[in-house]
Amino acid sequence: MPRKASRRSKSIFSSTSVKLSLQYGALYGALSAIVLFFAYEVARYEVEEWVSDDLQNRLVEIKSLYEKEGLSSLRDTISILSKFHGESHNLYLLKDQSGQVLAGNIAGVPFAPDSRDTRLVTRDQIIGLTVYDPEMQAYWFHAMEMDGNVVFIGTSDHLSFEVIEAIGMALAIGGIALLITGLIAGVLVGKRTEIRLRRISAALDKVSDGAIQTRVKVSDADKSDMGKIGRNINATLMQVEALIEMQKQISTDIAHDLRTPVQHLRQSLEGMQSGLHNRQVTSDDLEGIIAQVDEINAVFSALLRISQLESEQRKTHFRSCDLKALVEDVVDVYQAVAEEEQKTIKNLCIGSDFVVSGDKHLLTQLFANLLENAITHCPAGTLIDVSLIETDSGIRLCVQDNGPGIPADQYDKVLRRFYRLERSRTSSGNGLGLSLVAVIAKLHGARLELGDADPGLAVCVQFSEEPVTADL
Amino acid sequence: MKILIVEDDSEIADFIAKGFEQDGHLVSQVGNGKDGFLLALDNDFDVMVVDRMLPGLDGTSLVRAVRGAGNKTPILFLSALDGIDDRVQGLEAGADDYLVKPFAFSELSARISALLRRPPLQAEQTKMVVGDLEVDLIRHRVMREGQLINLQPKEFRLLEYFVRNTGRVLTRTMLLENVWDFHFDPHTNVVETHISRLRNKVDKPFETPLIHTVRGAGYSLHA
Repeated sequence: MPRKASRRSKSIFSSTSVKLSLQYGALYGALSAIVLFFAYEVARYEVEEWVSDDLQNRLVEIKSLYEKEGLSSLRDTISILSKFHGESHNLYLLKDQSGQVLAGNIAGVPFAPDSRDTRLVTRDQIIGLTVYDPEMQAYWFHAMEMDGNVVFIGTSDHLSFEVIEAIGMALAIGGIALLITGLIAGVLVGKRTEIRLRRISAALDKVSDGAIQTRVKVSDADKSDMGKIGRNINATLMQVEALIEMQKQISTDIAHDLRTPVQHLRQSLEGMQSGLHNRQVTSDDLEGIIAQVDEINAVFSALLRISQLESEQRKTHFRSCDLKALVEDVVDVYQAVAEEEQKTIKNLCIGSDFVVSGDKHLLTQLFANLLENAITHCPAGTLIDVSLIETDSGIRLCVQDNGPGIPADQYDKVLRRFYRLERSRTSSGNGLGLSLVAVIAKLHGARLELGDADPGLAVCVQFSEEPVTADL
Repeated sequence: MKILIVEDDSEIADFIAKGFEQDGHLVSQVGNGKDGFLLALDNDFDVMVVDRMLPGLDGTSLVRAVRGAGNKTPILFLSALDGIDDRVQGLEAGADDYLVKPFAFSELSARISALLRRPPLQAEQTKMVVGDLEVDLIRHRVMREGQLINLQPKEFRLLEYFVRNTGRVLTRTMLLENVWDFHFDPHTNVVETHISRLRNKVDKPFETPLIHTVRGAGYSLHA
């Protein structure tokens, strides 16, 4: 199958789940990048703020020293501080009113002393920076005026740069790790779904190739959507398989149950043909032939009626129908027939409202079929009890006899078309009566129940409380 | 009687025509709906037998057209469609009876006779007499040779259908449909049993039987 081969050879990226998880991964990555960028910016701002505060605090301390102890003390302090510059990490400069350098480890900075801001100054812009550390590329500077003298202090941005770099690195690594974990998780989850989808798809492929008995592997405990879909598909397949099985059964039955009488007919005709020379064909011969044709036609009609009813076209003709009157009328008709066969029909009604929505002709046929079954399949002396009872769950019509009954394991089978119990093979009937009863009941939304009347058979039609609404 | 047969299957049409001619009727035969319509309007037929499925104008449309033209000739539908819906549709179109293929000629003949001489029901006709049998349709009283015959309501209905169709052949199917409203073929001898019971009351105690079996066709009530 080239169709299937191409389906299986598709790359991993074409599978729905992987595509989806990649899409989500990309979106997740973009959002993370934005978040991380803002986190980085906030961190940088905080570090700079901290550096600036530090410089200002130190200047405030120096200023208070000056106010207490005067210029000479200030000059001495700056001189001492200038010596502890920490490998040119800290820079100091004290200038007097005339701009003369009084103390410090640098000669000048390129900005006005009255500035209140912390400024970033590159190393090249600083005059007289002698101690040289290539890592110190730029300095944060702050200046403060003290009675015309100006104190500049600076600190290299090396530390803050390192901190910011570390934060940035941490965020970046964290972000990438998150992204990768997210993608892997996504692909794995997707893969699971993918595998289950594949399973369903593979099962359906098999079904489309004719293996209707194939089922999707799914456990009953699986409550996920995929599990539900799998179970639904299995249920559908089961229904379809049952229908196909039924169709096959019908074809076989038709072949058997119609070909056999056609064969009998043919034999009768051939017998008459070959006997023509010896004797006259009698009217009885021909009547027998016509009876055989009628029997074949009856089976055909019953089959057609069943299939017509199965397509549920008849609800359009549903009317209000009084089951009590119907049952009494039909019992009245069959009482005489039963008496001829030494059987008795008893009729019991409990309740007041027996009106159902239905087709009177079909319901008559349903009830008549049940009575006829009891009359034809039970021995003389049988009592046939008909009961029509208004129950909480709807009207219940039962036909019960004390005849031989049906084994419980045959209940389902006797509803099948053409199915006949071994002992009734020789009696009249075509094995379609109960099938017809079943479809008529179903059409009326009623349930057909077979049960043991101990002894005998009880067949009940349980109409539902909900009226069957007519199809519009 | 003049009978029009509209049927495209010539074998069936010939079979019916031959049967009616043997019974002494005058038969016209056409194979399509349009000709059937024209013929029906130009001639005064006593009854029409129309196939449901015809080339061109189909049976249902033909019956509607005929009725639409004000023609009240009794019409019997022949059809291979035997759903009750099909029957209802056929009768709604204006046909008077409906017969499903395959059918026995005796069935068709009996139904045609019932259509042909359907007497206009006179409201005042409440008492019917067949030989020495008197049936009071209002009081549901049956007398024969001055004796009162006690009938169950169902038995009376059967007898009533017979007396209303005195002299006609009534088939099993006609009895099932018209007396008991059974539109299916029972597997038990419902008809035979009830006829037998009616005979026991109406015929048996008396010298001459009134209910006759018509072999291969059905039953007939006549003196």
